[in-house]
Amino acid sequence: MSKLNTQDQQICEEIVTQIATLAKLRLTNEESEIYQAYFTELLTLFHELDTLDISYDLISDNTLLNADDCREDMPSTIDLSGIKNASPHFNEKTRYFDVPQFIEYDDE
Amino acid sequence: MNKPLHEQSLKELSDALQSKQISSTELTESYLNRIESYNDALNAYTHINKEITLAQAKAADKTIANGNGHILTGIPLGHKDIFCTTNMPTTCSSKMLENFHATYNATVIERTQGIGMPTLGKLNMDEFAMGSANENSAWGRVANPWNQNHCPGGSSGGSAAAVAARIAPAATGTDTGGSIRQPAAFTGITGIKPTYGRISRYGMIAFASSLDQAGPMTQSAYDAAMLLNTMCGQDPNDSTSSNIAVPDFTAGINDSIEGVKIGLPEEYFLKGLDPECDLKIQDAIKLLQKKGAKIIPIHLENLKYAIPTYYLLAPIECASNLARFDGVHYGYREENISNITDMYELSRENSFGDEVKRRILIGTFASSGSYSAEYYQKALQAKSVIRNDYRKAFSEVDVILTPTTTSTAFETANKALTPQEMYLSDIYTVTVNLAGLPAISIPVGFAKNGLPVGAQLISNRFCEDIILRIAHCFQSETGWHTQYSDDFK
Amino acid sequence: MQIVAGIEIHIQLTTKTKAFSSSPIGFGGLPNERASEIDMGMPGTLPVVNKEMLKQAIMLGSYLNADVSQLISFARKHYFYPDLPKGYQITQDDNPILKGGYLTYEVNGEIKKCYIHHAHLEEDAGKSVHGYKANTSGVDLNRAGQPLLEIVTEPCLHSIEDIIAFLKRLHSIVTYLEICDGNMQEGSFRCDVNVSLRENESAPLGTRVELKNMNSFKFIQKALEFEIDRQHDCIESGTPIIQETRQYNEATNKTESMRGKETSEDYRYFKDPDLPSIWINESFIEKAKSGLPEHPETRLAHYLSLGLSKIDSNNIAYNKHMGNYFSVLTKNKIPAKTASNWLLGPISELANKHGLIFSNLPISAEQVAELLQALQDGIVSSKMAKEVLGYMWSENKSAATIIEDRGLKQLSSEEDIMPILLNIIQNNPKQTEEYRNGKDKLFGFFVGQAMKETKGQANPEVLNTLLKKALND
Repeated sequence: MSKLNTQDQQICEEIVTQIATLAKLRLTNEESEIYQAYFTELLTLFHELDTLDISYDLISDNTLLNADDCREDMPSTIDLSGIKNASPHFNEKTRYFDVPQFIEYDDE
Repeated sequence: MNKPLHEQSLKELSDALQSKQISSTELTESYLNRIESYNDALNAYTHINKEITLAQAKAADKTIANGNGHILTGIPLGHKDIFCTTNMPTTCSSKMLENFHATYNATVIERTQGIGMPTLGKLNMDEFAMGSANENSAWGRVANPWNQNHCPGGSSGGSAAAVAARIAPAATGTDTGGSIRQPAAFTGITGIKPTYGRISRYGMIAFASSLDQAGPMTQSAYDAAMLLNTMCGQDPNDSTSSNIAVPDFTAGINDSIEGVKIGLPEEYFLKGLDPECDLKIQDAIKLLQKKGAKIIPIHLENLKYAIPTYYLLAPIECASNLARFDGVHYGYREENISNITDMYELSRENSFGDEVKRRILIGTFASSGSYSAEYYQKALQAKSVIRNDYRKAFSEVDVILTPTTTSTAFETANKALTPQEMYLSDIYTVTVNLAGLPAISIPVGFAKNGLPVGAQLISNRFCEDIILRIAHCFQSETGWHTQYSDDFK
Repeated sequence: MQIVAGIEIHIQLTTKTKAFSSSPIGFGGLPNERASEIDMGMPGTLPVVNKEMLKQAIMLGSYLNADVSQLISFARKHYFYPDLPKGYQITQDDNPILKGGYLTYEVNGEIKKCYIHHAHLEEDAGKSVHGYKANTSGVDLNRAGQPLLEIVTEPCLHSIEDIIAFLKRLHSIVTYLEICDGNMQEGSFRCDVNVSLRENESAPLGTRVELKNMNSFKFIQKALEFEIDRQHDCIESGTPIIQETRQYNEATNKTESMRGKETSEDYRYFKDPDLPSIWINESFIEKAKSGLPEHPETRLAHYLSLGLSKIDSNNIAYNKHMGNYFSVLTKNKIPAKTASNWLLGPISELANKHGLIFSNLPISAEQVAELLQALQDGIVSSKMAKEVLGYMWSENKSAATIIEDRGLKQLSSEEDIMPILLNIIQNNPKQTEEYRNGKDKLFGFFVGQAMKETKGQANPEVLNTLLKKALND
């Protein structure tokens, strides 16, 4: 297994900051360090794909759905009587999902 | 029938129920009692509701009395806690979904409950199906019934342990990279992952959508065939479910395996495989030869790409599927937060376990920006290459036989395995998911350490019948699958 | 300086159910009453493609001269926002349903083409209200999952008039096809304009700015006027133009930078594994196209050939239901000019007054035909016909019934009119004298008197003839 090059090392440091933000995870400093080490290992693993040779033709066998078999445009009734069990933040009075205010002015 | 109820197969129980020798209520009660006695040691079940279960059993008894019963009516079933149920919480063994009550039932639940199979309870698993030892559960680890210091495998660890300890006659599991087959091998039971698309994924909380598939975990291949008959079928709610007709998987299961060509891929039997596992598998191969099967050496050259490919593609889909857990509409929401960013970041950080976070990060990384083209595209190409290998192999043989795992069940206390080592242990099972093929794991003996060994049979898409037939033939000649730990007798 | 503009238009399709779930689509109602478990992105739920939205996209493709992709796929576009329950939007990336094409439009008498890059299907997000409770926002997912068709043009528009003319033409065809209700205030037809300036057409492209939040053609125009001026000023003063998204503020009539919006988000597109690629075969496309109405351009050419003015022809041709009325009228032998005058005149006025459109008028085309036939036959005068129309509109009775019941028949015979005229002449000797002595203008006085006496029911031509006769005797 090849050693991690400088680009990969940089990636590891970046991952933890940028990617964590993108994934909406607020990692602790400890986690950041542990995960950096982890990613170092994993990137080495991924580099094994570098030797992949796909010079020959491959048949794609992805299944296709026929447009004719798609869903008919007929409304069905909605029963969400159990919504409060699934969603503690569903406001039964106003019927909104309540969240901390995220825009300052009323803008629908 | 002198055999205790918990040692009887689904076929035997079905006969007994249909002939009114026992009632569903009696049967279900006996299992609930066993759960009460043994579950603490195993931590297989994470949710039980006796009232609901017994009410279902009572209803099943009525159905049978009216003569409207299905062959499996009245037989209780344990469900991996990944299938949405309206009458019990569905948590995926995660703090993120603690107390989550779905407003609808998964199709698998509808189909099994629909024919009167009472739900025994929800079974422990690795959080969001990510793991190979059932150590990643918010509700505690699961113990292997054969040796409680060892793991039962994962992610369907609870399902495997329950069946192995006979505190469920059968259970549902899911398999994305081996999560039915590996725990089946580690606990000495039978587990089958059918062809991708056979069983509806509607209501089955998604990990890696293009790889996930549900399947039965049972005492025997015949039992698995019976359950498959009920679980399989196209579902208009799942656009990835197949319209290929579902045969009766029990028909033809008793047919001879004379002339069946079994391929042995050289690459799967090299170093890295525990010699004791190898020994037991070789014994199994000899037996199958005696029964008329032809053994043909084959090559699956691109096995080496399996792990990097799987650990790229699965996390990418997983990061995407878990994006919906943001604290807004359902699931864990951090308390005392005043802004939306905190809500997102802290809710997710404080409720997801380590392995889940790791995979979300790796998946987010591998699908983002400039990295995506390099890693993701290569992995997609590797997936095609692996599929192609199998396509070539099935032009020469009918089924492929491999070990299910590289070793027997991991020891828990040890924790010597790094995440990467853990991933490498999945090497025999992940290619099957990448190619969407059906595969079964059956017990073929025990290693010197007393832990079970499993062998895997893989067939071409929609050809579950042949692997069931071979497995059933093997089980008709051997008794490994009837054995269970003395601790639970 | 050359303006370079490209537009992304999101139209809300008029299917009965959402893009990927069978939840009904409607208006108003309680929050979350049209949000199913799939729309809420509940764990384990899966999307299922709506056949009708494929059809509507294909129909538009026909009017845009676009290629319909026979193999389409859906992708996930990831970002976190409270009104996006799955944490990703299902959209199209690599294989959109329509590729290429163009739409002709007219500006300052010139016919031009705006080239389309592609159009793709995607699902809409929900809505939210802010501060309705202390420090709380409320999320409503009724709109989440509704199907949108996003049309992306090439950057081929070079003036504000072109932009507006093109958008108006696009608006009229999507409403003509009835695949969109065109209500810009309510967000059924949303335009995001990307605009930049460059020295001339051979110069490299300038930095482009995206303009959002303009919900009428008037506001689009104002926003563009402001923005182009702003960019001019920046260039002249040497200030760099930042690539950003700006929103139009109606109150200040300016475009403003959107605070806190990242200029380039990493959406991590990849093919949605829950949706197989879809194969649209020829017969599906044919069937979708068979639902197409007569093309407005065909009607336009027909109307021009009947001698209608360009403006009138255009107005009727691009209003499908008005055109349908026109067809019925001309089939009933009403002259084209009469039909068009009435449709564009009195009937449109009444429709506008009552906030109605030609698909939901209280009077049918056949009923209008009957009225105009009566007018043709001289049974009512033009003025009277307008009155009858009003009664028909509010009373839901036929023209014949109203004319009969209210005695509104036009007086056209000599026996009916002459006695009245003679009476008037007798009662107005002074004016009669003056007229006969040469004061021709007084003719109008007698006409007025006659109209008063007959309550406007005298046939004007007959009246004129008889009056002349009576006065000159």
